[in-house]
Amino acid sequence: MYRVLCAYLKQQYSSLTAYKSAFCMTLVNVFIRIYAYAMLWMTLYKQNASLFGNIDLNQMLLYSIFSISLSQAFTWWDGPHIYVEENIKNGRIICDLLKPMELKTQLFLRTLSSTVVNLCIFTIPSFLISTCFFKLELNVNIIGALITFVLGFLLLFSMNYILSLICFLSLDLEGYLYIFHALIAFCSGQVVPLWFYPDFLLGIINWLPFKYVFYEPLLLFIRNGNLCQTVCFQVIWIFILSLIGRFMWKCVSKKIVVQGG
Amino acid sequence: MESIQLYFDLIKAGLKRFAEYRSSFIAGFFGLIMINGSSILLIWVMLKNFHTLNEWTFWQIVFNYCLFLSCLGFHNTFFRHISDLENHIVNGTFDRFLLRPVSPLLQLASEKISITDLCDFTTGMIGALFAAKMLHIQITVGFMLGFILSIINGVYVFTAILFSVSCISFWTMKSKSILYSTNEIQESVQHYPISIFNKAFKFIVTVLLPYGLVNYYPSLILLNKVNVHWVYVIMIALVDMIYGVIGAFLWRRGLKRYNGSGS
Repeated sequence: MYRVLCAYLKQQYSSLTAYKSAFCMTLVNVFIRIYAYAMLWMTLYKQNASLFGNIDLNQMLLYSIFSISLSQAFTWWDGPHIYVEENIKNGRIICDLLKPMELKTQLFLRTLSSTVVNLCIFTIPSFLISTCFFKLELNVNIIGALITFVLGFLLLFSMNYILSLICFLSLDLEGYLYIFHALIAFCSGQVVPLWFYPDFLLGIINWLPFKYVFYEPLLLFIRNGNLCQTVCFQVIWIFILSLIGRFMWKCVSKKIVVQGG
Repeated sequence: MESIQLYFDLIKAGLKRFAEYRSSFIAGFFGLIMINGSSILLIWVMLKNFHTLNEWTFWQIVFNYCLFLSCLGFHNTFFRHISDLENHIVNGTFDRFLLRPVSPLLQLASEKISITDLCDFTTGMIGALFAAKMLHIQITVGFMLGFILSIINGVYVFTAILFSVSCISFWTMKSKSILYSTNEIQESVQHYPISIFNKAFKFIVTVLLPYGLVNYYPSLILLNKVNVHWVYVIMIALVDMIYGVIGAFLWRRGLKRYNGSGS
């Protein structure tokens, strides 16, 4: 398995850096997004700092910048579901199913390698450059964040895996992906931290898994939040989503349609 | 007249494509509404706490957002695929546009249609008019005329930028990466009034990549946020004209330069 992971890592690195212009433009996009949100939060902080509670501007900017940089590695517009969709459409999924490794394991290793490469070439550099640009103090909880980000990655993978199984039935994912994007964008706290949300919305969001991918790990990252509680909920959600995935695979594997060829 | 008829015939043929994945197509409609709904809800969450963003109220920002959305939706429905010019040039399939007895530009423009994006257009229109109502703006003939002109202007700006950048493929073979770099600029202009950004960014989105002309400046006029309207109208018309001239120039020169490739 280790050798497969290394092979995937090399492959992902080559594919992400093969087109220099695309690589540069992705970085430019990340910086523009970071700039736009930094300006937004700075404007709002200037307007009314008291609404941020015990979060100062430095922490707010760290939250926002790392959230944007991280979304380059923790992706939902790309990932195992997009790979499965492509392969279902062109018929190559049959090759993946014939390989001496479970489809879920293959997809996991592929996603893990892509995330690691994205973290190294986009997330970490863009975050560090931006913190220097905005002269931010790097007062962060690395250990707590690391544990919860790893679990957050597993949680996001579980969701993406369920989407890839839906693709076996629908054969096309575009519409479902829009719905998934809307849910993540609104419920995960990736764009606007959840402490700004009114109570009635939090009442719904707290029962969903999305906030454990971004919001809770990011809170720990800026030295807020509760490590034990976050880890517990993340593990529970990973377990539930894995069960759903397993059940869906059992249903889906009986109905596979191979197109193209 | 014949060209217009032909355009709609080609569009009709393209529509049949959507029968292929029906459930995803329906989910696409709901998904697009949900994406825009969640974006507006995020702005609402923010402004519920802060009340204004740089003197823009929630409904003013919704108007700004929805105006951009309706222009983008219309543009994406009929013209987004113009960026495929790059693929046609690289693969050599542009040859067939030149061999048929119809204008290559018309063939390129009518090649595809994206029906799901009409959902953005409709949501944007309804959202903008609803926001105007919430702002107690009188929906007069003058306002509606200004609103429709703003949408035409916005669609024109999107298409002019896309077309001009796509024409660069005649020389470089690649242009999509330049378009990718504008994604985040578009998002920022769509979601927030550009007055929150610094002068350099404002200059970029007003002159170089004039996405600000799609929603921000028309919103200033339509929502009566400025006293002197004609200065902005002249500025919008001038930048539109310059982009039109650039696009036409690049297309003509590009056509002359094109000598086929691929196999």
